[in-house]
Amino acid sequence: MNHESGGVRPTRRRIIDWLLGTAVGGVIASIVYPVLRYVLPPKVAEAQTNSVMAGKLSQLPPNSGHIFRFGSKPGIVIRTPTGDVRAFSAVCTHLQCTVQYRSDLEQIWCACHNGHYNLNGINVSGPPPRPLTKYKVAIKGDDIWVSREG
Amino acid sequence: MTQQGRFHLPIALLTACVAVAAPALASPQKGPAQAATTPGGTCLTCHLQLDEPALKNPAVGFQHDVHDRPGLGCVACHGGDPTADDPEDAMSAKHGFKGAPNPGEIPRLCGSCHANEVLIRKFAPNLPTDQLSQYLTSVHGKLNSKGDTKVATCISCHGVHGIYAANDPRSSVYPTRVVDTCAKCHADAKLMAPYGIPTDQVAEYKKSVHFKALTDQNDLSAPTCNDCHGSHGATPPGVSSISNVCGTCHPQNMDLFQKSPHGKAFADLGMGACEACHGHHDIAKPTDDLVGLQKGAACLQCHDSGDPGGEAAIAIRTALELATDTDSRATQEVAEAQRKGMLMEDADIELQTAHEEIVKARLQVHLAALATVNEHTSKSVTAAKKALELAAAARHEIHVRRTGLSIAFVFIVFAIILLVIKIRG
Repeated sequence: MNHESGGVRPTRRRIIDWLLGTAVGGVIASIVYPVLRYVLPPKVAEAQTNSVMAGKLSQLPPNSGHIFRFGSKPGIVIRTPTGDVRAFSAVCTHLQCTVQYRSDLEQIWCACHNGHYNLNGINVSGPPPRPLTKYKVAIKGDDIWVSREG
Repeated sequence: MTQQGRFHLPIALLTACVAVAAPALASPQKGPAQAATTPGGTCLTCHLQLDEPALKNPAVGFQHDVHDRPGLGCVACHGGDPTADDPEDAMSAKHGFKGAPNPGEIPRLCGSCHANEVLIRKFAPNLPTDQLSQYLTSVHGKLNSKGDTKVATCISCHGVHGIYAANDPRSSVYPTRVVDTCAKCHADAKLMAPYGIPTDQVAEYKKSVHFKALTDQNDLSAPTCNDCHGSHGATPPGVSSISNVCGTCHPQNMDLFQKSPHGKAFADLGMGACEACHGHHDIAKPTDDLVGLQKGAACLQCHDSGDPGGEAAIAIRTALELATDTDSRATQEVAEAQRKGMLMEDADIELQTAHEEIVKARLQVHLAALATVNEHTSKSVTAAKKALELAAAARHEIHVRRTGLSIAFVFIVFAIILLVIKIRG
């Protein structure tokens, strides 16, 4: 009896140890894998941000504008003819087309239905019912940083 | 129009008692300039103390009248002497007391100040002074000049004794109130019957996208009656000018239409432009159902499935349907992925492009050129498909995460069981 049971126990213990080792390995893998995924850069762009670098001041001459990506929506940074830098949401308040800067008009313009906004983002002509959402602008060196107000 | 009758009694009674005024308009030495020094004067002093509403109310209303601010008193319109204490003297003929002006006199009476550039510049430099000349060209003005006392004059729209500036939200000519002001006459079937004018315009307009924008969204740029018909020069726009009226707010649609094959064809046939498809007062929010040859489509009015125009209409409708369906499916799938906690900013950008290209394609429908519409719908479909791919990738990612979590859970439970067995052993 003792011989028989002594022969079974080591085998059973070894199996349990092996299974336990495999299970612990699996647990460790399930911890390490998300950590690695976190460390490696994601394919998808990162979460909605409140601040973004919208462009270089040296590449934005007076009386020009530039579309940049702000989270999931386009933004527009403009440099007025007098040199001020301002930024707004580039989503037209009429039917959500992307607006652009018109240097000939010195206004922000929506090509879809000829909506006009002045250099303060206020709707001045055409169908847009509301002004563009205004963003804060901070110049750091040559970088134009744009952030949401409030 | 009918409101004038309402104002006759108080004006007459006010006139009968006021007797205070000098001949403000008739006599050069006692015009508005002098009235400015004695606003209201004894007219208000007496009338505010009267109990009879018809005599008291004009005086009460005048206290917040826009004309009270620059110091114009009752005398400016009614004449008389506002400095006299004796009512009979104040409202005597020797002081030029005029009483209530009759409807035929009102436009020129108001115009005696409002068409006087030099005078108006002193009080409101930006106020136009062409109201009277415009009024005289209007249907109202022409009939008024012929002696029709029922047509609208200045006070029919602006009110009397309590007039607010046109940009004051309490004014009867403030954009949100204009339709009801016009309705006082133009929705009155009995009043309109002699003129042969229908009275359903107001009810129709209140069903329109313009009225909804004006009232629901408080969008004051949305058109109301006077934006299309004119205010002081009110007149119905003719067939040839309706598209120009629409084009003041929708210039690109108008330009494209005029460049389209329809532009010349409609003009040759003497047909209206915009209203042929969009209607008049009850202009609904346009949908893609207006395009094509199915029941309810505007194109069906002139085209059939056999002609090239009809075939083009069907093709345009098909292209729009494909774009909107793809966009709608992509929007739904991206929203579903976002609901499950995935970041879908790239997909949102693609959806933005897809929506925008549909808006542009719909605009190009006015050009009636299949190739141009197709150009935009193709860009929309491409962007929507990218969004769909991103949504599919997100779905796959969700599946991988869930599977991984399940496997990890099994390992954890298994490890706990084995640990318990090992400890007991």
